[in-house]
Amino acid sequence: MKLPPSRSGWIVITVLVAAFGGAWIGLTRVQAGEANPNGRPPSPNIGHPAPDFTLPALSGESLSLSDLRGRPVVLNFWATWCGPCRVEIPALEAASQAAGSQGVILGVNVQEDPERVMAFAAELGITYPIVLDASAEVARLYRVNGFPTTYFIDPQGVVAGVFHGPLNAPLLETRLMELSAPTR
Amino acid sequence: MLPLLQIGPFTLRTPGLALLGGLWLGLEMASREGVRRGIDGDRIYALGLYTILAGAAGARLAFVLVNLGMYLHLSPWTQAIGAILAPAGGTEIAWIGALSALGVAVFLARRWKLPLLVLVDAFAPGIAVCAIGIGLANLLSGDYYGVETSAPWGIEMGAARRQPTQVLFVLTAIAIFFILRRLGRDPAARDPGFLGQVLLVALSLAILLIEPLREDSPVVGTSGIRIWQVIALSGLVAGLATFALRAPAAATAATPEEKT
Repeated sequence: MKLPPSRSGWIVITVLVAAFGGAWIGLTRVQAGEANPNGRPPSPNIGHPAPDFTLPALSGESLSLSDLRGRPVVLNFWATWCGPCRVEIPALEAASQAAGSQGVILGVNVQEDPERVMAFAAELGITYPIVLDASAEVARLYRVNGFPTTYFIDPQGVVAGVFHGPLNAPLLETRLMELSAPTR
Repeated sequence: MLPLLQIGPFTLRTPGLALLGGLWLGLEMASREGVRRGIDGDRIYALGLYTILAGAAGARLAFVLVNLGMYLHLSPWTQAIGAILAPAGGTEIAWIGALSALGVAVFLARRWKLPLLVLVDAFAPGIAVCAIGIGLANLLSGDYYGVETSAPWGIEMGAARRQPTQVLFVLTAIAIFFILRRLGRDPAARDPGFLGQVLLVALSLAILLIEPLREDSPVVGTSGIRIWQVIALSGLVAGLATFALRAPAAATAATPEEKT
């Protein structure tokens, strides 16, 4: 008949599992090269290089995310039918004005008619660049599940943060300050 | 991935639906198991709901505390608070949320005079069902995704082929559920709390093994140590320690006379 382990048996099992578990954690830890953002694959996750893309801008030219390297970027996915997007736009516009050439607010409109977007931008007085993601390819690349979704990208092109929901002025100001701070 | 499902003019967020479905089915399961163990099913349901709400509130509070600078412009102090509460990004939401949920659950169980260990057994299969819902939600949203791989079992996510970590988690949770169902078939045959012990050990072991396959696994500072593996190993050791505490001091074989 099979006997259940006694207390001392369980203690031995526990100690062995703790030892092997600790060794397993050490063996499978992220190596230094992998922890380096430059060694990581592009991914919309914090610490990874932001996936590059090229989209047509509302002005007619094409704009690539990599063109903005060297400045903090606030990458904002939105749509005209999205109420919270409309709420946060004044804060985004104010942040864009305040940042000037030191930072970029980049609006990515997803799957909408360019004329509709243009009229909306004119109505709300948006002057920061807007690009058109007609096929939602970039939205899928950045795993956007809802609007608005905003990615904060540092001047080195690494994703520093993601925010779901409408942004407000203090939050934007704080994140842009953090992104603009010199790295140690 | 299928984060959004368009049905006519309606857009459904599938990860949220999967999560809600898992929570509801888990509560339903816990309620039925509670009745089998002599506990009022409605009490189980109420306790479960309050626990979930407390967990969500605690997690939200944790997020606010860690990101207080965004709300109050007190960056140096709030960075310190964030560093204390969040050894790795996002973990403050999980552990403070879990503590809140646990605290409320224990408080209500004592207030309603419900036997704690029997409650744990009633909830164990339901928690496994919730874990299935969480895994499905991650699969639909694309979170908890795996490292790139050329292996034939990899799944296409975006532009890369990745380890199927979400699928592994779901399959493991399903296996844990069936193990708990089998072990809990006759509540009288097991000591109260036994299913809870098995759940803790099994879930912790699963996370300890699956986590290295994740691409987006949070690490502690620059150490490279995956925080969820540390948490899982702690849970695993704690679970095994409870078996040690409840085991007899010396193993004894029952004689045929003792068995009858």
